Amino acid sequence: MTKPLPQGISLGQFNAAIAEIKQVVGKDYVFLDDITELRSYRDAYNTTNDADFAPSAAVAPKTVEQIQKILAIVNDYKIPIWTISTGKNFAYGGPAPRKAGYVVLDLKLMNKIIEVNEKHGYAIVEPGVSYYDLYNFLQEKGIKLWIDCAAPAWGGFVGNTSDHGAGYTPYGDHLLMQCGMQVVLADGTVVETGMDTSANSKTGALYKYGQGAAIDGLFTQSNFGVITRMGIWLMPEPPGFTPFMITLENERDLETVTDLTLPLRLNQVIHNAPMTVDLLWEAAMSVSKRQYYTGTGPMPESNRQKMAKDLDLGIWNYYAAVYGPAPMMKNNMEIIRDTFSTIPGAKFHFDKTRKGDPGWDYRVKLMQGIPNMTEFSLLNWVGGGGHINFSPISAADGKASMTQYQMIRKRAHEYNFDYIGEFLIGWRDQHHIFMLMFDRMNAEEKKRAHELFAVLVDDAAALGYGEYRTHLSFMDQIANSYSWNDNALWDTHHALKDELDPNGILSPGKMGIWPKHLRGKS
Amino acid sequence: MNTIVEKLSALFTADKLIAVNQNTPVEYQFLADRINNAERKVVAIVTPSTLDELQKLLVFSADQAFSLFNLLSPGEINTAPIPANGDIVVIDLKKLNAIIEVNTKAAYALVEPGVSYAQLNDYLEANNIPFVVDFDKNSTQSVSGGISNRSYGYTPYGDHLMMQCGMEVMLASGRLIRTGMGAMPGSDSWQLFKYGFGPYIDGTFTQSSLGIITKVGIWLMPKAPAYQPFALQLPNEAALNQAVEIMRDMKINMLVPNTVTVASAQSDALQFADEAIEHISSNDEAAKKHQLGQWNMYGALYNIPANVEFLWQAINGAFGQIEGAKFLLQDATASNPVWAQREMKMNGKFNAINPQLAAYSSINVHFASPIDGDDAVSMQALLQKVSNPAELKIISQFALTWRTMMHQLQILYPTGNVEKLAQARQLAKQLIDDFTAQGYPSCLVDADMQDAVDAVSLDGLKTLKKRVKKALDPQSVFG
Amino acid sequence: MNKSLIFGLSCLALSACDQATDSSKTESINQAAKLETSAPAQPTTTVESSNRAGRVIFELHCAGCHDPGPAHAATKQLALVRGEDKAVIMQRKDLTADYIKYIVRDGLLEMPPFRPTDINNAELDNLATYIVEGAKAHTPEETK
Repeated sequence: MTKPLPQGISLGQFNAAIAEIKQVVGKDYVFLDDITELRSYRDAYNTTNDADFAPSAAVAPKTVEQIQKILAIVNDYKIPIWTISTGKNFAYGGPAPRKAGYVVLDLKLMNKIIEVNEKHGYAIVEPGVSYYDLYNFLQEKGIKLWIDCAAPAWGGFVGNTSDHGAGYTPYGDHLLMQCGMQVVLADGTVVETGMDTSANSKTGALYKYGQGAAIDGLFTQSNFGVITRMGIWLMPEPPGFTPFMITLENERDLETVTDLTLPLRLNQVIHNAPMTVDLLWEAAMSVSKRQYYTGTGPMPESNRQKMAKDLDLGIWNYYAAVYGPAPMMKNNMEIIRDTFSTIPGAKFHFDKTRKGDPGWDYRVKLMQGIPNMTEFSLLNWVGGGGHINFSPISAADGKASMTQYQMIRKRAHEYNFDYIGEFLIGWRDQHHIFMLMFDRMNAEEKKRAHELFAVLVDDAAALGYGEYRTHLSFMDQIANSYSWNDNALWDTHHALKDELDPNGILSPGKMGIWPKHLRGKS
Repeated sequence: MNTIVEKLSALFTADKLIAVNQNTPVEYQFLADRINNAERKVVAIVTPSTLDELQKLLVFSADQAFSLFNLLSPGEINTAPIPANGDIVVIDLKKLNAIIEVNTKAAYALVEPGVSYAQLNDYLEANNIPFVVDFDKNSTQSVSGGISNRSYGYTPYGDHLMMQCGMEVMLASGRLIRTGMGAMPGSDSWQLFKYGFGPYIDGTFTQSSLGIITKVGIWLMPKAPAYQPFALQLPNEAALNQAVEIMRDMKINMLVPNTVTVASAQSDALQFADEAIEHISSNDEAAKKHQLGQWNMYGALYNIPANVEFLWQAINGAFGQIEGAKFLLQDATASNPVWAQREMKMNGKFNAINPQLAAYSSINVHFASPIDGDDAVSMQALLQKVSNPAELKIISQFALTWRTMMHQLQILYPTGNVEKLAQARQLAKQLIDDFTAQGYPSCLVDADMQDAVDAVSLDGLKTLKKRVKKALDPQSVFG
Repeated sequence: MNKSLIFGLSCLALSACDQATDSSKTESINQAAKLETSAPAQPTTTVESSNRAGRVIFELHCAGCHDPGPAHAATKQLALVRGEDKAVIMQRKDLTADYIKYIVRDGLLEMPPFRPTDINNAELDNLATYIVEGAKAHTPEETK
């Protein structure tokens, strides 16, 4: 197998650069072997070919100084690097780089928990710190702070937050809860943002904006710098927590439940992001498709109904929670009950009757920041594990939800896939996640999934719907769809890119942001 | 200078072009006061009424010797950096004042920069829309300016940047961009989802001169079913310390959702009482005269009635432990004029300020601290002991938001008094040095104090900002 | 940043390790090794070992999907496609250390691969041993 090299770089140049990098981190932290080491850096769930995203090497530094030295070398040789932190961004590319041949800058070994401050409710962590790591630490030390993790929870704070990820407790908007970061620019300049404007600032992880332009957001979903540290606010353990579920019988209930939710979110009656989850996503936590349908294509309606009945699930399944002192939770639950009981067929479920159901159990864990991997059961639905997320943003509006759902479902069925999805209802918006599941060992299915995804991006854009995050394969297509005023925003991103990374060595192509020499050639 | 005005008159009709001279309208006189020095001066003010006019100005300015300075909110210098040298043309976007949309279902507004809090509030009232307008100082300030300045109001939506969602910006090149979901043509979510796709750049355009915000989205708070404001009057510094400690937990646990303020009697009297500024020197006297505590904490509950009742019990119980502390509730506003003004701010109602302040201007400097009783005491000590030979009066308050306690200072000087302004700047610089040295960096300063902040800031961030400036304004249109 | 409360990860020492040269490198060892410039200098950092116990690795990286019970994705899937007796890897006497190590680095169907920075080679050995020994010690009656 020929080693994939970065575009325009010769083997000699590559080897020379690697030799220098080995002197920085030690040869044991430079991974070169395509078979024994770099296989683990590929995107296991891609919809094209492994080779499309195969790195030429991976490097694992532990300190800012090492990163600075590596940057100096790759700038010199003009070798593109692709930064990952915990490397678990599955459904969006995992640890793999945008194009074959990049060198992966793997920050997993930069994994210190720098500080946890219980009194002020924050932590400062390095990129390699996973949700499990901090959770275990807090448990071990008896610190009464919760984390807010993604599902599944083997990812980490820096990576997920910088990809605009979301969670399931009241602190679910991860970027909102981020406070301060340390970034290394392409030329090695170290920047402390936020309130670390002075050397002994007391408010580094306490005040988000600093003074002057508030620039933290520039380093999220972008390739303008390498984040080496991040502050995050942690929620104090509340006095009480009441999760609940509502099963809904009709497809159109999606519209009603969304419209009923918005005022409850605006008025903070429900404190976290409610999830409206479709039947199949729910069912996948307990069973696989073949247990109810052995044919090809989407599961037929009668099979779905039987499965729903067996598992005591609705066509839609709504999860949310209230948090706080018991009397306040009781007051909020009264309003919640009154509100949703107006939906015919809506049934409330609580821990008493639901405990032990894997779907309930894992969501309850997520809503209190207990990391778990149960959501990976989705990969069992068709088996073969392939999955890619189509993630449009929707208004927190019933009609908009129905439009998106029906549009996606129709296309999915056309391409012989099930619609598997959920809506996370934020403050005024929703993250709509369509889990496109496929057997990664089936080349035809991969191809079909890829085609479906590309069609969905275009369909959505035609309706004015855009995705909030995406897989490596679709970054350009989606970036191009955010085209208001002749792609003025991406031109702006490129102006920033050219200034902050003139050699274009940081994660070229991330979110469709390319350095000059690669622009328009992807 | 005449040439500049002459050139501009090719772009602007007489009603939109003001030459700065002895006849400059009163509303703009502060610009010369605050901007002019040996290196730079304001030569003209333009008031475009269309985006087209604004764009033509920016394009024209690119190869001209003068720089542009965008006035973020009327009457004050605000926080965007002033061009360092040369002739300056000020842009006042007061005529770009359309309320483009108020969405009653999703509770947001999309406004142009010239829209004031008063205008927005009038619109809501006229249309029976029960949303609260969150403002910092007064009704004439710009809604967009409040976001650009990252100022704070006193309701639960007090963090103006946090409540911002989506913006349209005219870059130095004259090109328009829309951030977040606004970059997706036909999107219904521009004011619903902050982040869009790609880097989250909105904050870059606040407290900066990297582009001109031409439209901004802001979330509006529906009036709460129940609202209970409270004033907690505290007898001494030890009580202040205790109160801040207790309130930290309330803030971090989201029990008291609004921006909680704490001010001395003297400060509150300066700001809200009707008394001559020069006469307000003693905290004891101010407390007695204006029915205030030595220290005064203001907060409110916003929730359903049953929850407000429950929370009130908790608050009463928690703060009741402080010896000598006294609560005032809403009914006391009828007989307590200062408390009445404070309460109005928390209720989204435009309050009155000390009429004697009409003759004064201020230099604003805000510092950020953890929410900690000891830090409140320390910062107060820093304020007390700073060298102030001119005996300038300072309005100061602590403002508690999320996990920060800001110390917000307004250093007063008689408007137009060149000597006192110089002394106020000296005082501001000293405060910036002193507070920063003790670990309380600035989070907001008037633009003419930026150099003082830069002098005590770390290099890395300054380097980054220079590069961002170079990327977004390569021809220094904004200085 | 306020560094007055710095906690290292004491029980999960995740620092550098002395990775033994992998003697199982195949022929396709890249030509880079051959074309290395002369005498690479010593690394400038102090290399500390990370050599976590197999149990620690299993709890952190594997248990989420492989513990017994319906909350665990891999266990469920193995039960369905391979049979109940193959469901819980900690109970499977048919798994060899070499196979475990190969799957960890290569992935298999639903399971993605784990990088050397997740689990280094020494830790991979520990993990494989832990699973194999655990399965050996397991007696089927205990599951009833």
